[in-house]
Amino acid sequence: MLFNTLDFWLFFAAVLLGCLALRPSWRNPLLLAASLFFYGCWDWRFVGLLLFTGLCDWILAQAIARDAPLGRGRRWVVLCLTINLGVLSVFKYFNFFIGSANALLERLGMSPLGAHMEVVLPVGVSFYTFQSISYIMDVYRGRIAPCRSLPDYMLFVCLFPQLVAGPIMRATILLPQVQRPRRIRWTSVYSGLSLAAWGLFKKMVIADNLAVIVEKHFSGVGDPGPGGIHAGVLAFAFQVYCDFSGYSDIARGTARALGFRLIRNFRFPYLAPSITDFWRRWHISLSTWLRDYLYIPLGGNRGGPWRTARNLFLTMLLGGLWHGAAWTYVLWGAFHGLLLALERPFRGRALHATLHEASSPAQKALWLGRVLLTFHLVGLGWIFFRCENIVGLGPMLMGYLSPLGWLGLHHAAELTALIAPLMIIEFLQYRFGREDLAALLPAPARAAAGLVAIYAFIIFARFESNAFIYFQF
Amino acid sequence: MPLSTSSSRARGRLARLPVILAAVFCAFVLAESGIWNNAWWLTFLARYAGHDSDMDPAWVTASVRLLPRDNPDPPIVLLGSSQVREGLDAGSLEASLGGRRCLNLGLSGGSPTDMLAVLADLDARAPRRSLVIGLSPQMFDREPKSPFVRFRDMPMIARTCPWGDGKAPDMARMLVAASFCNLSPTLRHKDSIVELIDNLEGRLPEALAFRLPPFERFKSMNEHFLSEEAFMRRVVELKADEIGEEREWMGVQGAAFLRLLRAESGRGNPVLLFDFPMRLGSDGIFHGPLESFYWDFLKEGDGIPGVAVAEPGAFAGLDVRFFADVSHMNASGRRAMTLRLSELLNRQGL
Repeated sequence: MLFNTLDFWLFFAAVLLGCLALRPSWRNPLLLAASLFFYGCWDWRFVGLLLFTGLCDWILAQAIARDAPLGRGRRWVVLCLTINLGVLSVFKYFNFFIGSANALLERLGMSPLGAHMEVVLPVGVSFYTFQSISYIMDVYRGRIAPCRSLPDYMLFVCLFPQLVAGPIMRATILLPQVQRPRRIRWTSVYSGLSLAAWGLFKKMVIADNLAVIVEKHFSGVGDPGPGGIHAGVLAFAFQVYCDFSGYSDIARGTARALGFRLIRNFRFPYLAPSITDFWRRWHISLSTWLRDYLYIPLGGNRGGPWRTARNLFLTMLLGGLWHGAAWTYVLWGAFHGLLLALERPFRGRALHATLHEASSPAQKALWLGRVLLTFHLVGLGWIFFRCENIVGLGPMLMGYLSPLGWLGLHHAAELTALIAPLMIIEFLQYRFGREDLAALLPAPARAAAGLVAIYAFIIFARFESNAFIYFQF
Repeated sequence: MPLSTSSSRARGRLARLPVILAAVFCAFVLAESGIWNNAWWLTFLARYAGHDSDMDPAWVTASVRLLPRDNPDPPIVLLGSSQVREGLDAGSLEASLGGRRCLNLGLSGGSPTDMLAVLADLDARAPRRSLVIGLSPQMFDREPKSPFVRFRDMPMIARTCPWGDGKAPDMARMLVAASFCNLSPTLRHKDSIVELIDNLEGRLPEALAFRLPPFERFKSMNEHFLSEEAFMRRVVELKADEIGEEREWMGVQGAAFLRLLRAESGRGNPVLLFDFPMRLGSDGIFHGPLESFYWDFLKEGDGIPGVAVAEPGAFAGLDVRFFADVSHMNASGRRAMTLRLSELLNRQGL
């Protein structure tokens, strides 16, 4: 049940009405049942897996809390990580590693291992595994008390708006919201649905239409020259952004309507003046997870510049692998790790300055130059992310790096028509420092804007129920 | 755009919310009515509709809404699938019938449910009309199209569509999508608008000024026909496609067709049915239950007052060179078919 389908919205309407009709104490059971139903719509068999890992984590968290003060909590943490990462490895990475090993053995003239599993990747497994791990680690570190109620814990893991593609919520933020009675306010319902509508617009109008252009250029049907490649990469940069941030907005919006506050996952990432800043603005729930549960435990920036660079590189490498079991994702992660490591010695306020901090025209021009440079480096990274295999990378990278790419302006009209409205809105949001731009408008202008948005949606939205890119992870 | 919550300002916004939502709703209703009754826009649509199947909703709306309201002479409306669209020239027919207005509303993949929607649209402009319906068996096994399902036909469709075998979600989706199409004409014509934008790419200024020549509604504009070998290959392919077809839509389309005939009969509007000819040698493509269902229906239709079925020989013996493919006419076939139909209409006194 995808967010961009009629089925989901009928389901959501039923859940919302149910929550409004029920007493607060009955809302959590309804939401848990609805979340399991939502997940079961993909594949009922994986509901069992979700419940199994959830139950293990819940039991082990009690044991960790009990034994941690005695210094014996570590073994439960190891067991818990083994279960969670074991499930993730089996379903997501087994075939990847076996396939890679076989390819290597064949090159060495040895017989392949032959093992191959016919498995379907449980949707959202990467997201809920990381969410569960953060809970276990926070319990172990004493940041949060273990959840005593199994249904409450299961709802924390399964809450349907964020179950399949995040945001990866921390227990310290979401669990208290699950545990306390929530009032559903009309203001929250309205603002949540407005946010979800904006997310749907980004997904169905911008991302899905850009997907057609991207497919054309990445599959070699479009202009194979540098201009076409530039257009394809530019289109993909905005497609993946609108697709994922659109999903996140729908998740946040629907959760808000149900009385939950989920964290913001994107904060104008393409206005970042550095790669470091980009990662503070892109997929924030993952980048902060990687920082807190991987980079810092690896040593973080303690231990000198070389160790910091190594930690950054390893963190991003594993972050790339988290996205998908393919060498292209590993390379994408390595590329970003390398950029972060190279950028690290030059870090300083100027590198992360916002437009608001730039007072003179020269500083503003410098900020703009950095933003454009960062955007193009990120774009270069998107080639690794989008190419289906390593073989296809070479021509795309060469084309993108060719200075002739700028001659591909004849592709610009189509792209600009799709991207310009988003860029204008996002720039204004950034400039005014608020997400709720419409609130700045007088009522007639809001009504007019609403009407324009409705017509744009009706005419240009793609109703083909295209899956969200991040659902595959 | 998203709005923030909490604080007294949020409460203030909430107080204004019903007014804004009401304003958006009223503006939307007014805009929808204004757009889809605007003569310039309808003329533009009719002029550039062309023959793409996505343009069918726009073609029907424009053709029907551009009809004069107080026409003393009931128009002749040609209904059916793309066979009718390609095979009959309304302009020539109009000339041969002494200037009586003829409309060719044959649709790609047309079916009886589509015809019901077309007639519902026609009720406002031409409640008195003569219908000429070209039929073929495959029309009775087509899924209703959301833009061509009207509210008034939904209960009938809901009663008769195949809900079993795990198809209930698809059926519900189709009906909900159709409901939305009824609520917003723009949504109903969404595919047409997108197709129009694509077709006019780079030529929009000329089209807006009506300097661009109108797009041809006929797909076959020449005398091309299939060689015997190519034709036989195509027949074999079509026969293979038909094997294993579930025929799940016969119930809906049969009910829709009977509803149409009875409604027209009740209004006193004459209806002429005819089996649209296919190229000689196409026999047996549609076999089994669909074929017998089809002929039973033609017989049943013949028994309804005001409904006539054309004699079997009315269109027999058409030259194989009249067919662009197995079932669609080319330009010369269209001329021959239109001539035969005008003779038939004169004989029937329709």
